[in-house]
Amino acid sequence: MTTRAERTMWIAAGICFAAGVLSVAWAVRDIHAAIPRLERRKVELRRAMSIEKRMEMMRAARRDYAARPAGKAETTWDVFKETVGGHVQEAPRRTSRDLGNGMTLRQEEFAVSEVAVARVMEYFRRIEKLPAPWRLTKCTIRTTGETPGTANVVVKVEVIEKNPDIL
Amino acid sequence: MNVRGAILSWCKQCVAVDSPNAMVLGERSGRRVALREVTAGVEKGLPAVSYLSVRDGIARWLEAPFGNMQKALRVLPALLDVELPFPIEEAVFDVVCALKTDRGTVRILAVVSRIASVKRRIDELAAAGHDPVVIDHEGLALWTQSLDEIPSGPGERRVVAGLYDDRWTLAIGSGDDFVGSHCVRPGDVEHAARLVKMTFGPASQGGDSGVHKVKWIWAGPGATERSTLNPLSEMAARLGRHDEVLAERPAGMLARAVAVRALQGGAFRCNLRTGTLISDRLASRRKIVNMRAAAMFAAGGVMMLAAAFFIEAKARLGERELSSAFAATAERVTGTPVAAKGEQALRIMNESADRVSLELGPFMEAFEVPLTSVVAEAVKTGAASKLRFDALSVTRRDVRIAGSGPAWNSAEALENVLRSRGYDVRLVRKEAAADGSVPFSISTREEVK
Repeated sequence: MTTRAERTMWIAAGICFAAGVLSVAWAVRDIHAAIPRLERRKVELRRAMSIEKRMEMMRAARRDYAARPAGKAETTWDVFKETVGGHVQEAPRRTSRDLGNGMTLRQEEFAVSEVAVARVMEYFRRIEKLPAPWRLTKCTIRTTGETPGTANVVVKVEVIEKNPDIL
Repeated sequence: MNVRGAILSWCKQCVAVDSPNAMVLGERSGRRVALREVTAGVEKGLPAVSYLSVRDGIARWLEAPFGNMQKALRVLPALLDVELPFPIEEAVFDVVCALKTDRGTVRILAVVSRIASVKRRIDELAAAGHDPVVIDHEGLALWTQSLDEIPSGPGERRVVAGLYDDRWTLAIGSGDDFVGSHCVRPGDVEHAARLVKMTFGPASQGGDSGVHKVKWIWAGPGATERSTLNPLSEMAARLGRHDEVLAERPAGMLARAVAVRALQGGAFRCNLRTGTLISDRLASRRKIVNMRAAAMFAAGGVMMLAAAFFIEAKARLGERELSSAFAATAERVTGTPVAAKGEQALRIMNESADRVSLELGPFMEAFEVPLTSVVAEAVKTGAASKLRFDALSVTRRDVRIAGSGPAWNSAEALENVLRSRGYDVRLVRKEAAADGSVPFSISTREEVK
């Protein structure tokens, strides 16, 4: 036998319980829908962080480079003529770009024909050992078939020059 | 056998009232109930328990023609109405035991009494200063207490005789099973003999076979009086082989039974003070239990609500954290707050990074492995594999080599070298030429990051 108070209590308890069940069901449904959205957000954040990391690495590289001793870069064309020789197909084309903070990117590109490939390799080794070391950025070797070990060569090199007057 | 929990499950102690001068204090300790005879006055504040005599309370086995227990219990009032000499509306009953049978029916042991009889008993006890919480059934109480104090053998037939000044009560059963109980006028030995014969059947008295030996247990104040006991012993001997056992402290056996049954769960538990007659103490206890159950139910609901709220909040917080971390990263990359979201924001960040890369890219490349080493290794590997290069073009991102080799797999070493340098290259070979050389080309599949 239940009293009015007990019945009221049971009705309230039932409402509470039903509300609890409904809210859990609702939450489960919401979470189910939110999971792909959260996953997408995570992927986007990872991609953003990787972009940031790439930029950080570039900034760190500039800091490290700035810590190197300053030096004016010599042209490599003389080194090439001295090491390789050969017939100039295209005169050296020189460009430069200001990288800020007293640093300049200098590039040289030239094409020669009928040169010994082994001598070209020697040229690469020599320019990397200059006080301001140059780097090869593009190399095209096309054999002519006329003399074994010789080829037409296109070379593009670059160096970051630090202006000692500014640094 | 149905086992019921203790009726006074929340109490440690109770006082069983047989008569105002015969009271027993029961005290539960673990799974045992310690019993002590007490005098009036000790029981103050303790719940009182008592019984209804077999004269006023009928214990009856009934068979409901349903296999379903709930259905069987629903039809019980109708079955009782047929059996009882008074209308069911004037009765109070308690289901003591309900068992499914092999016949697909349910056997129910019900204890039933007139409401007026139970009220009268309550009034008697109230006059003596007691408000009983439990009104047990005398026959069942004597039966279960006799089994507790004198365990039965398998299939043993037993008659528990409670000998009181105003009545003789016979509780009859077999093994642990209660069969029935009867009230006999004191001194009417022949009527008692008839009831036992009727219960066990004349053939089952067994004669000298001993198969159906009956154990007689004498209890009540009369059990210690030779004048009361002798005619009964003679009657028992006349009925057949038998044992006679005098209960220990026979006068208090019924009070002990009632106390134990109230404090300890077990078979054949009964309380006729139920329905409209329920005691205030038991009603308020039931109310507390009921309210507590409802409160637990409500608490379960509230906990689920809280859990759902917590889960939702956690998910929202997680999403907000991810969004704010993304926005902060975008701002650090671009240098200004980025209003765009998702893919569009990433595109803006990439554009910003590409602009920075124009200025800072050469510094990164300055720390990478020199391209000359790639060219040198390619030329060296080509020479070792006897490859003839027609064209070779190498940049940091791209490599293209065309030539020929002496065998089908000659260019594979070169392909492996370029792969080890991070170029994702593809080797393509053609049919061997007339001189046996195999033309090949190696080129980058896509830009290497």
